[in-house]
Amino acid sequence: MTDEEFQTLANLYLENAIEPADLERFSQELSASADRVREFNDLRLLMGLIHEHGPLREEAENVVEFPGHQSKAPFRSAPGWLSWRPLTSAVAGIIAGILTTTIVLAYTGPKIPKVSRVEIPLVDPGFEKLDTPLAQPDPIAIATGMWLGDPALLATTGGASVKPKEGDVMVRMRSPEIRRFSNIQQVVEVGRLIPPHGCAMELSVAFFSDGSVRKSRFRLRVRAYAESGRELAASTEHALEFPLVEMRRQFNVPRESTQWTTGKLELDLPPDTQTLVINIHAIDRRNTSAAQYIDDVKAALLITEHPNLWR
Amino acid sequence: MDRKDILSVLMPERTRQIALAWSILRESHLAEDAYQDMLIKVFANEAEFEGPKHLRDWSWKVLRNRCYELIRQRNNRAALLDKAVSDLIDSELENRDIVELDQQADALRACLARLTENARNIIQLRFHDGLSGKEVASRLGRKPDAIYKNLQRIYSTLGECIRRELKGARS
Repeated sequence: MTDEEFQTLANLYLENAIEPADLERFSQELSASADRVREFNDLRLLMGLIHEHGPLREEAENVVEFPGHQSKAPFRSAPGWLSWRPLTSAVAGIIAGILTTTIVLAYTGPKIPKVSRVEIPLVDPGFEKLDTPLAQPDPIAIATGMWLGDPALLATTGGASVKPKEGDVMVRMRSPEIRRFSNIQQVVEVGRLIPPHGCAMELSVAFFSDGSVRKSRFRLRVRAYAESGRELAASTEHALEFPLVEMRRQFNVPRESTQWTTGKLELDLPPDTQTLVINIHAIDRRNTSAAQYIDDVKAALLITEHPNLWR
Repeated sequence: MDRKDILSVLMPERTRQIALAWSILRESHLAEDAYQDMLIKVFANEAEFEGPKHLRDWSWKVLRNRCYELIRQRNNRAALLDKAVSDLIDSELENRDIVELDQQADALRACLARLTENARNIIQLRFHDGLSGKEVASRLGRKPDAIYKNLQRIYSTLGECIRRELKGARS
């Protein structure tokens, strides 16, 4: 096998785009040659380096977006559920349909589904109680009714350059030394609020990044479980790895941003949802001197009377 | 071992361990998750380690298992090498001496800055935004094969450039 052919197969393998016959040849080549093993690992290490140290586009461009990239939902396990966005589009379509047909179909048009919004009872959504979040070493315990987070988190009333989004207090997110993001978590039981046909939920959080020379990154993560908070707390760590559904979304705040920006995440909840585990991460990127703040967390269920719209 | 000791053993391993996770999972966010999950397990068992070698070996094993577990959870149809071949290449990666890591990182930054805007954009989408090669192609309105070839050229260019930079720094 030529060097170029080997490099092509190595790359296709790492892109998960290799054909079975080529995988066999690639495998044989690796088995037969220590040099090929080293060569392949050179490529893997280069990818590790890019992942770890690649400053990438923000050095070349100042243009950043908010909200930012939506990460995939790898564990999303309910393919039959529709997302909220198509639903609202569908509702909008129905409304548009009604507006254009009422003249000839007076009183016979389709009924507009009523969408109701039910606030999820988060504890201390604005971090106004100065004793929360409670500091927790990894892994953060499952406990309802409070914010738990990294020991380095700091509830603060702000300074001259940053004021809370709402109320008198916000939280400064600071990463512990063991990882590159800081983490805050609240577990909330919602089972009694979920209608028999399921619903959607929306989480919104205000972000502020002070003094950032690059764009600053935050991540929202919601996992839904069929167990109660108490059952989750009593279960092994392994149980947490199998949520009913999960959604993560990442947000980039422009560098030198001077205002709060709000990131939103939406997730469809199955009828047997009992508990939500909400995480907010501030990602501490290399060479970023920004102070990252969060405030004004809001969560709500979005419920429609028409169960068929969800199936 | 206390946390400080654990970190002093594991931090020099990080780039190689991320490389392992990335090459199994092929997605940045998942690779980072797998690495964090491994760290959590290490700290949950911090009293158990008999020394740096025990901790190091254990961390690699846990990370590898976690990556395959994530693949199973996702019903991922990833093309994977046979276990015997995976063991062979992972062992080489695990036991490889990485020297000049900081210099390599500096060299990488310098080399990335020299890429064309188009090449930087592809790397950005693939590594920073976590898109697959196919998704990058879709985003850029190109065929997947073209993106795979582009990535191959970019890696080759970066590898050569980093070697030159390191050689220049030594002389």
